[in-house]
Amino acid sequence: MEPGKISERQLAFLMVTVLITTAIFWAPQLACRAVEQDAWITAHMASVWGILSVLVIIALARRYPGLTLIEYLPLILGKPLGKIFGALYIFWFLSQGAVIILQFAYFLNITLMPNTPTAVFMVTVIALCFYALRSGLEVWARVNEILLFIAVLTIVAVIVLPFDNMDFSRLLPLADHSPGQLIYTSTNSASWRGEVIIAGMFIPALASFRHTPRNLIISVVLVGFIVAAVEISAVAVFGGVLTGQKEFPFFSLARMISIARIFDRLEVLIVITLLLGTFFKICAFLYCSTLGAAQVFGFKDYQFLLLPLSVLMLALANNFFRGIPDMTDFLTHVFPGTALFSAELVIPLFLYLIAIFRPLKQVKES
Amino acid sequence: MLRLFQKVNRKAKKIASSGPKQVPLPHAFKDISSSLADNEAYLRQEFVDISDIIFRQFYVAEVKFLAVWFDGLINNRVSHDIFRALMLDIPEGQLLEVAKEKRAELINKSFLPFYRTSQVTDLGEIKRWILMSKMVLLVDGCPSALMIDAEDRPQRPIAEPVIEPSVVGPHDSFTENIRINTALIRSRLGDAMLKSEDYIIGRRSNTLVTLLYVADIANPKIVEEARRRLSRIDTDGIIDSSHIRELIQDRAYSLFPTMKSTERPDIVVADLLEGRFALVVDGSPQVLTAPSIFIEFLQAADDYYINPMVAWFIRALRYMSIFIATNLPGIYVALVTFHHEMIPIPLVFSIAGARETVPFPAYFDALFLLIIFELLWESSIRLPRVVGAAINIVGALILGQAAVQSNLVSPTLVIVIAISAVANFSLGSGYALALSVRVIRLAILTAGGILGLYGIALTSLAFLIHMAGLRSFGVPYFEPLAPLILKETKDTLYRSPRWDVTDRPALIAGNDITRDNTPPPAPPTDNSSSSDPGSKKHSRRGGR
Repeated sequence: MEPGKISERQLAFLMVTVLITTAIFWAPQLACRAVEQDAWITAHMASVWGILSVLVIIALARRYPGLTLIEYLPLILGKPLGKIFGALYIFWFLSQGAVIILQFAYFLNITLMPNTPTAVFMVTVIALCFYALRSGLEVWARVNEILLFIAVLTIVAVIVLPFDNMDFSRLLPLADHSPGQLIYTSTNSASWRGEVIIAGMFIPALASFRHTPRNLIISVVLVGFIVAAVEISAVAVFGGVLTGQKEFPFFSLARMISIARIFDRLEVLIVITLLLGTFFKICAFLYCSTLGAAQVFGFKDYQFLLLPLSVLMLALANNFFRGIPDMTDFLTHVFPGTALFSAELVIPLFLYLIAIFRPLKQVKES
Repeated sequence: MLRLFQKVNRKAKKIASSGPKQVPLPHAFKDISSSLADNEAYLRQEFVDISDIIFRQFYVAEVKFLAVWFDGLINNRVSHDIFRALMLDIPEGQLLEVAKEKRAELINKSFLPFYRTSQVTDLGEIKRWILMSKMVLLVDGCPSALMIDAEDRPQRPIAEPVIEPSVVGPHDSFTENIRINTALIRSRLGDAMLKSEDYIIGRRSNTLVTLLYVADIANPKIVEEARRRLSRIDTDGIIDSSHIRELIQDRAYSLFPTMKSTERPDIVVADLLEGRFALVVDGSPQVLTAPSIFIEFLQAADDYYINPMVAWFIRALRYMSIFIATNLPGIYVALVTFHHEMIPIPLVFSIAGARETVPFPAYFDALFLLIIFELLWESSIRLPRVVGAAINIVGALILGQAAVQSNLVSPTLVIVIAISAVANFSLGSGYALALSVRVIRLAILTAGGILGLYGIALTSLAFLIHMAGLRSFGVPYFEPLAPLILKETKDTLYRSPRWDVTDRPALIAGNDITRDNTPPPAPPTDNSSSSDPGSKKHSRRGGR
């Protein structure tokens, strides 16, 4: 269905963008609130959950080559149930996208332009997403390839540059919390890492598949390292408790940067570069939902669904939460349940188990 | 029935013949009659009411000849030579000996001291040749005519490049004459694989267009696509190569140039060697090359003639300058309006102090000054040379100094716009991108005025996505960057020395990817080197 082809590197880069962009703003705060200075350990533990997701989606993709997640759902569960689950997945993609748009808008509103209503940011960003998706998967995957370099460079700069304020003794005592507590906290971070499951929608568009399992695992682990580095840096600068109380530890970290006492307030630039990443994340989810919707309902083309689904995503974003505390609450308590423990890991795992017991021969007939 | 069949057959043969291809395929075919009077009547009727055409009749040994040409398109001295050859040098006996039908052939073979002649049997073609500034000679009793290429159109000599000057590179540039232009290219690229195909495009203008490509480098698919697009053209007149560009480029509406036009033969040759094709259009001093990628428009010919490490620095400077040219006014407005905190504190005071007396918001201020700059640019191109000094004084003194003194604009803004303007002209060779930048700058300025840095980021991203979606004859426009091809950044992001750039761009060149096998320069391996540079050991790599 997707006419364009992307390279394996483009998919890996896209996944890094998807995994890192919102996680880097929200995960440190939530993790530090729960386990203070041990947050960075949970970031690595989350990678393990992420790798599990990767393994499941790769196994499914190997079993049904050339098909997207939505396309092999009916083959595994039977047509009616498969379609229902497909529709649920589309709703999940849409709602994830809506949450990301909202995070994007709230973040901009708080940090950059407090007088501008959030609706402005939502509408402009979704309009640009619509334009990007109209140009085709190939195109925005390509642009992401360039911009990821800039984004990663900025993140590294933010991690390293506040070095004169760092006190690494704040990371002690190490592993002060019980393993159960750490694992429980890691599920939160892992809900972002598990978004790698949307690779299942992109794999059929790959020009080749050989290195993709390796690439995806590397992406997940790399993102784990970056998030952990942000958490270490934030805890070293602010201390574990304070990091948990900050609205956006990453942003506060960026504010600590001062180059030669002249360039003091570079956080705006940093925010802007990272927001470019968020843009691609919204693109990815919007793409998944339109492609998925076309496949569930059996359309030949997905482009014409782009406009209605963009508007739908916008509407969802506008009505999801009443404010930031509402959203933080959602991210802490509901998000792991809707993400990691359903769409990202548990459902695909069950799918795979069913697929194993369901002989492929029958699949070929249907 | 048989005649009809023959006619169709002949038509097919004519289309397949090696001459220039007319686009769109043209006239009705009409055979030359053996009677000169009929042919003359036909031509006179076709060229009725034209005062500058010449029908010259003369007789050699009672055989009637008719020469037709347009006055001024054929050199007087040359036409004198033709008539001298025909009237005085033909032995009358020999002319009368041969059969009537063979007379044209005889003259062509033995008595026309001109390098390019051909025998024509179709009246439509004769008409076209006359229109394309050739001389046509008809012989009585002979069912074929002679086309004599004695063309000598008014033209200017080869001059220095005007738009793309170079410091150390070659200093010749194309002219309006297609033959001079192809000669300039061919003289630099003496390769039998440099193929050329002629097209006659334009129903009314009958403009000669030559497609050039190096057969064993260029991607055959791209060349075929170029042919297809050329033969798709159906228009009445081609006046300049830019008309061809507009008719065959990939995207109907885009700010960015997807075909490069250049006035430098060296650039065209370099492009041909990278597997591109070139289109030389008669009457235009700009030669088109494609497929073009974005980075090309940020390069200049000089990059390849100076020290590569310096070229690297200059290219970095140019990447900075396109950023400044497009973004600086927008960023200034965004900072002053939305993000004061980003400006270093000492600077924020001076900017605020300067802005204090200015009544307008920063955006209108910037827009005002930018439009004045655009007006100056436009007027300095259009104005008659005699009044140039007046505009200079008005532009520099009144608009710059007085606008600041009368508190219409802030002095900081004048500097910002000036830097942006300077950067605009330090982009690479070619004018096309500099023109696009003007519009992009305005768009980004507006975005910065409305949504601050967020707006600028969003607009830049939109432009980036648009560019990444462009293609030039199937080649992605943003090529070595998106899709990322690390190997090719050698000659795009920076510039490696020539021996290091071993491959042609893979997406453009179809075959024969390797372009350079020279080993890296190295000092001679043994110690006695400096004493005798002529010894065989040191000339291992073909001498110096």
